[in-house]
Amino acid sequence: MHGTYEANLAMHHCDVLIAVGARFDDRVTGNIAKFCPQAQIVHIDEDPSSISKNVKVDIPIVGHCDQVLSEMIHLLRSGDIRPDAEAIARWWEQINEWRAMDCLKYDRAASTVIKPQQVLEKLYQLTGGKAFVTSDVGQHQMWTAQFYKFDQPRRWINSGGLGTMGFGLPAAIGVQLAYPNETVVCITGEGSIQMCIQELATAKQWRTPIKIITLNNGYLGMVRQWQEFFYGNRYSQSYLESLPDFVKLAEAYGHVGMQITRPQDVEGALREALAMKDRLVFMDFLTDKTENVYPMIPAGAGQNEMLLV
Amino acid sequence: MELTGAEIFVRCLIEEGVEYVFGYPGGAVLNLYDALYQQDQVKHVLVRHEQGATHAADGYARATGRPGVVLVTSGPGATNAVTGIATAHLDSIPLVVFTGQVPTALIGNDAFQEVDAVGITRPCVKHNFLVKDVADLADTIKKAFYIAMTGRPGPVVVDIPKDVTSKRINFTIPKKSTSVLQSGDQRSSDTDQEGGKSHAISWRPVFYTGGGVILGNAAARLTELTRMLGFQLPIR
Repeated sequence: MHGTYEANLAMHHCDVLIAVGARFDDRVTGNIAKFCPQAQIVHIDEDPSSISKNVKVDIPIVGHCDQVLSEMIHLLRSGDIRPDAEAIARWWEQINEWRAMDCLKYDRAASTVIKPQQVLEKLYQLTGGKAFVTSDVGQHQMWTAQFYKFDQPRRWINSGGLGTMGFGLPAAIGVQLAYPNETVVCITGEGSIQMCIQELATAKQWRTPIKIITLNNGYLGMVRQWQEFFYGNRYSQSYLESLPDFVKLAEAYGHVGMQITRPQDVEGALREALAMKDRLVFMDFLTDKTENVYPMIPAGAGQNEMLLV
Repeated sequence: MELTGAEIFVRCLIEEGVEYVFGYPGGAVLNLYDALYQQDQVKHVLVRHEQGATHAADGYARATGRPGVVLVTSGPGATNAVTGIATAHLDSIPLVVFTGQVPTALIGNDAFQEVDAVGITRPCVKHNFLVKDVADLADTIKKAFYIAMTGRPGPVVVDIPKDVTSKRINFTIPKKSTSVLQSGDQRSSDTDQEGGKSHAISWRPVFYTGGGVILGNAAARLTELTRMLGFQLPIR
């Protein structure tokens, strides 16, 4: 639904799709009837009931991913099957052309309002991409997936399937207990964080020094975005009146609270918070109220039918 | 050695190598909490709402690859945990969730804090159990951990009535679950039969990878394979 332009088009135009431990969820496929129209689909999965459940598969391989991939590596090593390097190079040329669209661009020069993407890009730089990052559900979750460029397993922890608001803070406590010396960040929104806010007390009791980054735009942002695109700007119940003072709230639970309102303060505040190794810091970033997540594949559309900035 | 159900519960958690239990006490699980109090190998993290317990255990499981363990009381304790159980179910995260239950003699009587936890959670677990006899407790716990962690992982609920936790029996730690098949090579593929035949010649291949790669600890292998093929990783 919010994958990059190049990834969506690569899926749409590929001639072989090799799915590994994936379940063709509707947020990935878009309209099934328009999904990967030219591709033969190979599906490697441990769970036989996942095969051809949503999308008809041409070559099913039921088995443990690691074992099947090992066998594929073995076959490549022992045989003379090699991909056509020239074809692959041409394919990458095409993908890079799509990539040049720069589909995740946003107004980096904004000087009066904090762009949520800016916070995540800065966080990625300052943590070297090594943090454990949990999230809640909504726009902040999509931006985290887009702008925090994870390259190790088990670092990106979010409710991708059920989409449970309130997941991020308690999940971060669980991660921090398992890895007391690692940086654990919870990216959230002012809506989601209130759904399990009581766990700030658990975090105090167990001294888990989580960094909470609230991208506070005053709206249930993803609901607001759908209402803007598909419901004629009728923002029914998505504006959050009467938000608490999160700084005081964090302090009431015995933690450090910060509110950040200006773009030029984003980096300094993040540095300050990350340097507090033994404290939970609750950072309330007041962000652009009207920013949307792009690209977006509307419900029912194919992967080549994206809304772009 | 004669132990109570509650003591057996704790011994089984230790046997499974459980480091943390995330939970919240209540009437139906008082015996279990009393047994937890009298040892220091398994640490209990007191949350402020049962949903928090399931998500914390879930975060622990996703980050470590080990099962997350939850302990909540009957009735509202169990229903508050349901959102977290369903969250783990949809993302195939291994959890073992222990719910307290009213004493076996009261099940079905609309007793105080009684809900049918097995019924309520049935569509959002990989498997669930109601332990009706203390003699089955250790074996059931062993199975619960095994089921949560093997194949496509997922949450398993073990519902334990209060009287089961207070009864005493002679106890020995089960080494291997009595009725669980050990996993062997379960792969079935048509590549063996048609090894020589080329299904597809690709000029525009794409790998579409999901949570199964991480759950199956196959990330390194995937990187190796894509590099061998001359593909780059990933397309962002």
